[in-house]
Amino acid sequence: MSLNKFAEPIPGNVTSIVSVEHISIRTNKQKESWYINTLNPNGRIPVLVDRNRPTTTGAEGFAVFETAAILLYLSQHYDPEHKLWFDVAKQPGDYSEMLQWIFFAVRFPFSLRADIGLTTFFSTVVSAPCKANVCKTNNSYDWQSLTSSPANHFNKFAPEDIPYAKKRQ
Amino acid sequence: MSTVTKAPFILYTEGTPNGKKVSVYLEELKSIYGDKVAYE
Repeated sequence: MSLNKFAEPIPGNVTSIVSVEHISIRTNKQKESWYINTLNPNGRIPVLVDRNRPTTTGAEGFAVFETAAILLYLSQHYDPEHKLWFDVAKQPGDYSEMLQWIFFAVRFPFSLRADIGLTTFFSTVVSAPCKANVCKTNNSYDWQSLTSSPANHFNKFAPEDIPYAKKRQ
Repeated sequence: MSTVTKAPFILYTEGTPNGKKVSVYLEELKSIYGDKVAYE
């Protein structure tokens, strides 16, 4: 199976167990009051609604937001044989490692492609402008060059000088 | 599962990285439990 398949919000052959509601984040559909009131007060996607658990909140079932919470919810209730996750009582070490990687994956800015993203991050954001400005010396980065490079990611998010970063070198 | 039965889940999503994670996980669950994915 090609990973490109997942470029679509959901693969077609899962439609028997899930109805997909496309939330256009470009039009801020996830910020509309019906969504915030019944699905996710934070106004973000994705949200999973479990029709097997009726609720009185206005949603068609129990609503779960936050990706990691959704994955763990699905595991807890729908993977009783522990094929995709670990038993916290019987495999506490594996369970902890699982949590560590789940939290890493959902918090890391490059999300699903964390491993690829990390490489991409350092090759395009850190290394590339450094090569252009010859700012890498003695295996440490010149933060002035880094942050002042117009093409640099850091320039957008931390445009001011960062003296402590230079000091640490 | 009959065709008139509603799918057990509704996923409000888009093709974002986090949206894909849930889609992928649902696909994995189905690959193991089939359409009999059931609440426990």
